Amino acid sequence: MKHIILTASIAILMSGSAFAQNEIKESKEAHALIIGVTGGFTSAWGNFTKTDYYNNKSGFAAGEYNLGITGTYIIKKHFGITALAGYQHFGIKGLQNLAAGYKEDFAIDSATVYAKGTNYAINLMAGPYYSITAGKHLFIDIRGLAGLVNAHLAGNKVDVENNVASSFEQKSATANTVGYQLGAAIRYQFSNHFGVMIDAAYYYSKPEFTVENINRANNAGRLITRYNEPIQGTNLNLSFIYQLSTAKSTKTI
Amino acid sequence: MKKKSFLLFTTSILILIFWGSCKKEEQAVAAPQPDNEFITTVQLKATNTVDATDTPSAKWVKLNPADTAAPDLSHATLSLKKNASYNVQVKFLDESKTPVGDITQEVLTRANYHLVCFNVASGLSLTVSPTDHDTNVPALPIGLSNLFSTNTVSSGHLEVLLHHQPNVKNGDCAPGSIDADVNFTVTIN
Repeated sequence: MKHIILTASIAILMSGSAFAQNEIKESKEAHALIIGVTGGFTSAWGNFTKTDYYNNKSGFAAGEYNLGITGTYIIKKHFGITALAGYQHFGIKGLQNLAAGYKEDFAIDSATVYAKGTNYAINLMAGPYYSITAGKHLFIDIRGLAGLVNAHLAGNKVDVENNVASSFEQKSATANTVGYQLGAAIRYQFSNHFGVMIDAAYYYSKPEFTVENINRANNAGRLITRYNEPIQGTNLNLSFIYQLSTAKSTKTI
Repeated sequence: MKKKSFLLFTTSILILIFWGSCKKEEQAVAAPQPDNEFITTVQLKATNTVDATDTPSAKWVKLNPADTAAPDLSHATLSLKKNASYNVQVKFLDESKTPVGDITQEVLTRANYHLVCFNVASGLSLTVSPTDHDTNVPALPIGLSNLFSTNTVSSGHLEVLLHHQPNVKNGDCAPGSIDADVNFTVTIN
């Protein structure tokens, strides 16, 4: 289903670019605003993605995908400033390990673990941008971003042998922190207005979550009250860009 | 043209957001597995608090829990002196295998959700007070180590129950399930 939707969105934007083929211009402007819609795969590593029940640093997060909108303002020929509003979805993995761990720790016949919420981060960042012309329509873009990260840590609910009275819950948690992204991209301009970009970026933040637990009657089993591990990895994205020119002089081909 | 371009742009954003919102409920179950350990034997080992040579004990045995036959009660009588105090240790063993499994140590390791309870038959002049505590906050009794206080000459049954109280232990015997439920005879002379 996701592949169909992604393909459809690519097709829509490609068709948009095709319409623009008739008006390819050689831009000579000093200033330009480039708006991009970006999305792709997010990989994550470190303790945040570990699934070891007995390691309280394990985050049980999975690398999944990210979506975002970028805005880049070209100040000079190569230099600009860029901003990103993005969503990173990490998802959850290793619930089976949690269930097995609680089953063992409470010496019970069965344990059922339900995920509560999911792992994600919302990024609002800005930073410098540098673009190198690599061909008539081809550019290599480098950017560094820093800014606010609103991170969300998934919770879970544990049913102990289907006994409602003994069920307990680790509530999902939210934390705000600062983070950064460093990335490089290859950009192809179909026209003065449309283009596509493939980019890879390293991201990092280290939010400090305070975790609330409900109905932990006994001092037993994995208990997380605080989580402060780096959220880091890479985004591998495909972006569709639309350039608003503030051209002083252009030449139609 | 610009209007159409922006429309395409907006549509693609909405599609990508919809794509991102597709998610499924996550759940995992650790299912029951066949038991590989039984409580076949319950022992009471007493030591008189003022006379270390006075060490009565009793033993309840049923080697095959699935067997419908009655347990071996030939050594299930605890003889205590009147007006005395005893430190009593409760032991849970699995004698169906070699070497014998020490369930007591497992109970102790998992003391925060286990509780040994005692039901003293009416007419039996005995008071039982647990002396060990777990690491819950506040600490709750475990019941593997106890102080037995006798009074007058009497006899009767003493029921010993091992309660398994995962995340519901509160010091009372009611919550949870029962891992062992055995009866001893206590005589006070």
